[in-house]
Amino acid sequence: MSDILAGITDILINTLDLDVSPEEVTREASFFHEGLGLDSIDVLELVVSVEERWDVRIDNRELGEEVFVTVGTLADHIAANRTKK
Amino acid sequence: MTPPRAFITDVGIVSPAGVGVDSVRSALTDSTCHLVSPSLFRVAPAHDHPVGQVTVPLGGDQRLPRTHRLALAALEQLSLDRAPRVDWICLGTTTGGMVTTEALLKRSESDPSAYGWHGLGTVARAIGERLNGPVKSLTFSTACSSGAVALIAGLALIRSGRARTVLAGGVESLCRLTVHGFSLLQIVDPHGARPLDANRKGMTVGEGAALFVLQAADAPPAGGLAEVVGGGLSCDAHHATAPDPQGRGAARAMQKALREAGLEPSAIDYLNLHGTGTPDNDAAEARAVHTVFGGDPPLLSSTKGTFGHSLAASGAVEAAIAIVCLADGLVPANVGLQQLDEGLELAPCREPVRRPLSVVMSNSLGFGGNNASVVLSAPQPSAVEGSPRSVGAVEPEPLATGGGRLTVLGAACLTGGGDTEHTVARFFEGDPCAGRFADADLAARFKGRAFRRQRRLPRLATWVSQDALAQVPDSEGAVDGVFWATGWGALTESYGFLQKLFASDGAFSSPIDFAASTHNAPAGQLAMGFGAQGPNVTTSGGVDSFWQAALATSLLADPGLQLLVAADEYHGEFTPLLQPDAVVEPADGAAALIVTRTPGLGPYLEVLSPSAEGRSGDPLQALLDGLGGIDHIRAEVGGLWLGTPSGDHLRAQRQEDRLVELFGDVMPVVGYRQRLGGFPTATGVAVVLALRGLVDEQSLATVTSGNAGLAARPGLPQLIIELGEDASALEVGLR
Repeated sequence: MSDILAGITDILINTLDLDVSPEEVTREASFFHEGLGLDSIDVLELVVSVEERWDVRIDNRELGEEVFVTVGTLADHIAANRTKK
Repeated sequence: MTPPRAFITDVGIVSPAGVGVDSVRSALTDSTCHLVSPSLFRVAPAHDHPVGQVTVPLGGDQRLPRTHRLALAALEQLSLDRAPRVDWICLGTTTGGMVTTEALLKRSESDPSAYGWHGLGTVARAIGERLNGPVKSLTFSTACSSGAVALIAGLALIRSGRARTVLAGGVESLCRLTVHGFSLLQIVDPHGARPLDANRKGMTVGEGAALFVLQAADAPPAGGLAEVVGGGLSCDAHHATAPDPQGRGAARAMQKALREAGLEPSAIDYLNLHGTGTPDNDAAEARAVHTVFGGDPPLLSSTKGTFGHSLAASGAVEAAIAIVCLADGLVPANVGLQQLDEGLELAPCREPVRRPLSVVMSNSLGFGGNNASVVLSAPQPSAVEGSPRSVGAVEPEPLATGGGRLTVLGAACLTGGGDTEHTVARFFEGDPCAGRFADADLAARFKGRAFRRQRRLPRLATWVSQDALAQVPDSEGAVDGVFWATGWGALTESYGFLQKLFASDGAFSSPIDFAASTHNAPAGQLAMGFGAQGPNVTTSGGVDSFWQAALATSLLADPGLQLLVAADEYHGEFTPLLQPDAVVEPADGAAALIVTRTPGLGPYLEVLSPSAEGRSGDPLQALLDGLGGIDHIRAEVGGLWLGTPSGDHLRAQRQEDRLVELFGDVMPVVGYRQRLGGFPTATGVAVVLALRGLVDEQSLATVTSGNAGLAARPGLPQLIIELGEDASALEVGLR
């Protein structure tokens, strides 16, 4: 599970160029608003990176709304669905 | 004096329904769906959704990109031998020769000559080559509203008296960039577009071309099909890709189009919606419809369930649909709709309706919040009564040689020589400024969330825009409209997107890069930064790009402050393929002017045109004639700035030699691309420098090229001339 968190952190900092330190990317961190401050295009970029890295598809709005709440909800979804180790 | 009216007298169209207006008529009458599986190139399974593909075989020169061949297939249907001589082309396109470029990049083609048809302006060039002599063109790239903007610009050219006959329209080819890009943004419906449906999942990417002959006349000419009576442009200034959920920008465009037409909302008999089928577009557009029409909207439908969304062509394709509707008294069905989204509170036509129609409105709403709405009327003997028409008809200045004067309130540039002050100092010292402004210096200014995703091109554009606007304290950091020119567009984003797509065999790429890859993306970002809710117009036509944006400003700007901005970026891999002579000296840069159409004292910029009559012969002679002739220039011009276009050096050198011979004894001649770099929009930087030179009374003696040491004549305006087969000129001066 810690490798997933590290992977998400890597995507946020190196692909999305978010100006955050790795310590700020906790399971509790919210993706939006007062949290990491992602917007809709960031989320789509994150979706692509997640699929590329773990082969986990998040391809509809309803699922996206469930998964993209906190870093922890995304990590759990990846852990439950991933095929790539 | 009443401005001329603009009548459509001929239509050529290629769409997924086939070739010709009758194919459109059949599709609308029978409510057919023409969405099919893509077969032009391999699409990875995850993105393999239905497309609106043109399925008839395309003739023409197979070496030309599909985009160009679609445009030429539409052109072939026109009876141009029966029409007056075409004096302008206004074309909307977003990807130019991209569909060919993709194949070349995919196989790592390294011969630059293979990429000769990449630029957006080359589509108009291919059309112009088939007309009787070279024709001046404007190429608009405002994403999905491009075709509608081109039509509105054609209307403005006619109303302003600058043109009598305009060939206007839009063209788009399916390409890997758009097919995969929209899918990665998750706004493509795997079942095909279902506009206004409760279960709609997105759009269907499509292609097509539609061209119109637009003629100036005081009454319907013989064979007149429709009159373009109004057009409205606006910008959401809200988000890069998503519409303003309230639809305020779309509503402003529709209201403006009605005002231009002098019509009340109740006069609209049928509204052809943009209606892409994305959840957000349809919801925002529905709000806009309610804002404009209150509780009583006209009959309405989206035709994208039949044709798909042909992006830059869609505004033109749907204008052709409007013409069929007017001619046949036909309201088309909203094909694809099964279960109406009741939340939209709209009642689209579910079956074709037969009834006489007098006036049709067509909406086009693009990425970057670039909105356009066009109003077409059946040919009527007398003009529609109502409020004054202002598209192209507001003339702050009497027209001299084909363009209105723009009062310049601020001007800034960025080159390899540094920011405005550094570039000005270096340039007038006679030092070269060609180069690439350091990425680190860009990064130092653009910190924080707002700029996180901005790559080089939008940063160059934002830098100069901020600097120019800072010179206008009254602006409070805001402008009304943005007119943006770029020769090559966002190379980092488009090249990066494609390379990543190829590396993953079509499965993955960056949605961020796709959203930022459209030529108009920087203009949308600038509008957000400066609260610009007026027209947001992008032009791209090689070295003519800046000239086109300046002309678009004088044609289409509302009252108020306008940002006229231009930039090109040097990209290490892509630029050498597109512009091989730029490799000698990697260079890029940007320029911005804050202008208004309101007359004022101080610096001005004026767009000059070649004389229409002489164009079929020598382009330079036509330009000189348009500028008032050799004697007039010798007496009234203080200095000449000459730009040599990429790839046309021999012709340009001959032209430059001739200009030095004609004028070199009385005024300095400055070859500015040698000093600024060969990037297309260096024209804008030359304009900024020429203006500064006038204000600071620089002699230009240090920068003369063919006649060393001659000083500028104080008090006289200077000309910035782009040489080549399509010579164009700008005048800067003080008053």
